[in-house]
Amino acid sequence: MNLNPLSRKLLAGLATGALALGLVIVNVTPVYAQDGPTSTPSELTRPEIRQQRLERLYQRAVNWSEGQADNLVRADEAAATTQTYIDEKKAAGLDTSALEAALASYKTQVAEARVFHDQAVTVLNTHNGFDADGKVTDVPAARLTLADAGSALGQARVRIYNATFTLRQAVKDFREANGLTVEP
Amino acid sequence: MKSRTTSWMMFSLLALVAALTTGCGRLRPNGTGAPAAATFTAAAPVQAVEPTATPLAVATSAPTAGATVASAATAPTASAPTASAPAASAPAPTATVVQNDTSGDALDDLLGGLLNGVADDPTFQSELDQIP
Repeated sequence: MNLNPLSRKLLAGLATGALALGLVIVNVTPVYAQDGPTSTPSELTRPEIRQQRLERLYQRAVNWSEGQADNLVRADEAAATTQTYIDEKKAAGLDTSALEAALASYKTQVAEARVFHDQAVTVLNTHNGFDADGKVTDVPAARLTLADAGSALGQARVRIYNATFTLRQAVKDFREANGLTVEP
Repeated sequence: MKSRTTSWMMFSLLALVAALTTGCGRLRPNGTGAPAAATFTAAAPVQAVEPTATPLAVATSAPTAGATVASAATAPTASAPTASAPAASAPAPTATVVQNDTSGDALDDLLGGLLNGVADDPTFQSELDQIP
């Protein structure tokens, strides 16, 4: 290429400047943490990504529901065991009235938890917005199904937790009051 | 004049090599150019799930389909120990008589296990909210 010296210098200077500018851009490119297959907000607007996320949440709700059903079975066992304990202590001549009241309250709260749990199971079994295989067929309906199921499962969870916490505390109080536990 | 042009070109070439070297150094696998250890913030250690000191707050949203809403559970009021000094004439505290209560131990274990195993999906709602 036949360029005069001034043009050569000009071209060389421009090339260097462009390169420097490119490096500046590389330096200031934002860095995102690579901590797993999380979707960026822009990816979530893609229909296939959104459907995958909804389908995963549906499966999680089903799993949550199954775990909670097991919790309710165990809650019934705990109530029966507590009743046996009360009978035993009452036969030994101890005042079990506080424990009986705590058990009655426990049963009431577990019954309420079961109502919410059954609602969630009904919602998941109806699976509006999902087909029988848990695939999304209607996004708004699928979202509503998940919201309703999640809310009901959460309500049931809080009641199971609180009921168990309170009953356990009542049992501890009873044992301490009657010298049935080792003092710390 | 020609030598000056050659100098300019050599200078530009050196700048190009330097720039490429710097750029390649920045394009390491972690894509940051910073040391890998500085890329991620240290996550807090996961704590073992223990019974919380107070019951969970009950959500206020009304249930549908005729479900009754439980009254909000109140935190058990722990009576604060008073620091009153024993009267001079008070008898010295005796050791608590501990009776055999294996069924009580078993019941406490059962309730504790249930409490720690309550099914939950703590990120369910937040992940649902993120989906447009």
